[in-house]
Amino acid sequence: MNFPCERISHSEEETKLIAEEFLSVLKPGDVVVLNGDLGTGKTFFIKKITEALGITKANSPTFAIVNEYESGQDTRIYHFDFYRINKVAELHDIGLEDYLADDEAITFIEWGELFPEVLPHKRYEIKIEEVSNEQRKFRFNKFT
Amino acid sequence: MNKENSDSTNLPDILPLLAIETSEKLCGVSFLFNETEFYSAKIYLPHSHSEKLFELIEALRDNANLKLNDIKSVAVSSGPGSFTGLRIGMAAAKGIAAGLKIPIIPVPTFEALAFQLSQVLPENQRFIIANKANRDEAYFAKFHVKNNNYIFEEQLKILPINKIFYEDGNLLFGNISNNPNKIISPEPEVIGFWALKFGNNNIVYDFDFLEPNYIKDFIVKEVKK
Repeated sequence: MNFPCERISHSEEETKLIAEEFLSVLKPGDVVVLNGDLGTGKTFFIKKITEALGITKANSPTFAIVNEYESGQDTRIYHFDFYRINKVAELHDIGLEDYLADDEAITFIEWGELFPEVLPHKRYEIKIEEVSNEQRKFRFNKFT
Repeated sequence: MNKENSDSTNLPDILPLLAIETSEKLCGVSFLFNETEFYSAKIYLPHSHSEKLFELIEALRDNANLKLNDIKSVAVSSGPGSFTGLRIGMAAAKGIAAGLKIPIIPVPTFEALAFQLSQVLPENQRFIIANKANRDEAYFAKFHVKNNNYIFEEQLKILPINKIFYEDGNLLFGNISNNPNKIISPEPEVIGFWALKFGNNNIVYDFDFLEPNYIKDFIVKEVKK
């Protein structure tokens, strides 16, 4: 996968393949921001990535703010959702920096665009758009 | 910052003292009997503070032949530093202090480390302490040594990591580089020493609202300016 790039998915099965393709570039310490309207499939995309790592319990952290998953292969995943965060102080209050500083984990952040000031400069961004009911456009970008 | 005149008149009231240092990866505790006699123990393992801190306190208490009831105060490293570490240290300090009805002495982490370094560095040596606040920024302060004590050259602040450089002759401590002086946080007994030497005006009896010094406080201050 070269960045920036786009992928179109026509089905859940294709989304799974795109997720696996993207996973192959990820390594511990990476931060991945997912933006896209409600219902475009941000959580679904992360679910497919974590399933490829052997994690079956990934779900939306909209209410929990952050979920933590551990895979058998020693990969730790932090899964954030900023949707319900009202102000940036709340993110400091839950220790966002310590999560982002963990070199042994991959961190996913849904709705990261709501608080760009806390995002590390070095990160991946994925923008998901609904093209038609079953069709999704994924735009991948990498900031170094 | 004039600390040379501080005296130790209320020393007996706060000894023996339990000191806790958890601001970075080091998890350390110390029981101080006075300015020269102490027991210390430490663990250097990532993600260990929450599991190991109380074990460490208990093991050291038994080694030192103390009862927790003997303790007259708790000195705790109050940051800046890692969010999780500081919270765990502060929570432990509050739990113990509340149970024993004794005060807490919050100890500014960078000043404790500066104090520690000032005992070994030569007179007038300039040095920087910089520890990561997040991926792109670090907590930063600059000091020089005078009479085995530290003098601030630049007050504590947050700086982008790529804006921190040091001139020839300055030493850099902290975790922002791979520098060989891997001294990142103070030794637990130094938290206690600082409390004994400078903590007189810092003794907190009503600590319900005592919080560690964390990135949020810097940001709030910046907004207020």
